[in-house]
Amino acid sequence: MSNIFYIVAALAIIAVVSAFFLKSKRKESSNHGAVETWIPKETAKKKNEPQGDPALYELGINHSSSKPIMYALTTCQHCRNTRRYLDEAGAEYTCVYIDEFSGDQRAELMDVVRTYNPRGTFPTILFPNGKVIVGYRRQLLEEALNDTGKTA
Amino acid sequence: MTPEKLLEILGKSAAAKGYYLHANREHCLATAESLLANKERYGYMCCPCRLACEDSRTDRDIICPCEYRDADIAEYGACYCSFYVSEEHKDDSLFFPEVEERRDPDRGA
Repeated sequence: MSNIFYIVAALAIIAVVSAFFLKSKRKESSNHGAVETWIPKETAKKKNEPQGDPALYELGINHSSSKPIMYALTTCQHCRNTRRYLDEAGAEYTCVYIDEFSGDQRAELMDVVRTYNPRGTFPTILFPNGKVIVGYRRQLLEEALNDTGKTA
Repeated sequence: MTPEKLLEILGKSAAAKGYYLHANREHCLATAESLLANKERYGYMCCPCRLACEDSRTDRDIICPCEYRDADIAEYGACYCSFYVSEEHKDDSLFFPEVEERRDPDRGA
């Protein structure tokens, strides 16, 4: 009989403590506004991560330059081959590595890339005369460089 | 893991499907380095030629070997990154076809 009493007493204490805890959580929540936005820990961390070069971000967003702008990935072989070709041709260009940015900046840069290349693939190269080349296309690159007089 | 070790592992798994790693060793090593870099950055070996969403569930179709490899090799003889190639092109170190992206653009980052 006394065992049952202890069990009931323990359950009652647990119920009171739980009710108190829930009430205090609700109050804390209401202090932060009616709607709470849950941000996963990883996402919150990413927002604080350092971004790429701010000057390159600005250039990538405004995409107005007297030199070609190449949107690329640091890991992409097609991008490396394109860079190698442009370097060997003596071309002056600016490379914006999208994967060096994260969060909103990455999304905004991708919006620019998709404006010119709806598939959002890499590399995407914008030439000052409005020409756009997608991928590692030696022939097209050579023609574009000749058009803009940027070959060595 | 070293890029060389990764190539050894991926080469064996490719062979089981009748595929080969590209004959250009330098290209393969650079791709393996990029795969390891993505593993370090994102926690999974996302395709180095595509932008990761940083979420393995969203990117599951582009974790190497990607879901599009079979179709790309069947049509072009190589995968999107020209990392895996068909038997026909296994000895051609200059074989870099222009492989069109199959992935739905709405699915990407």
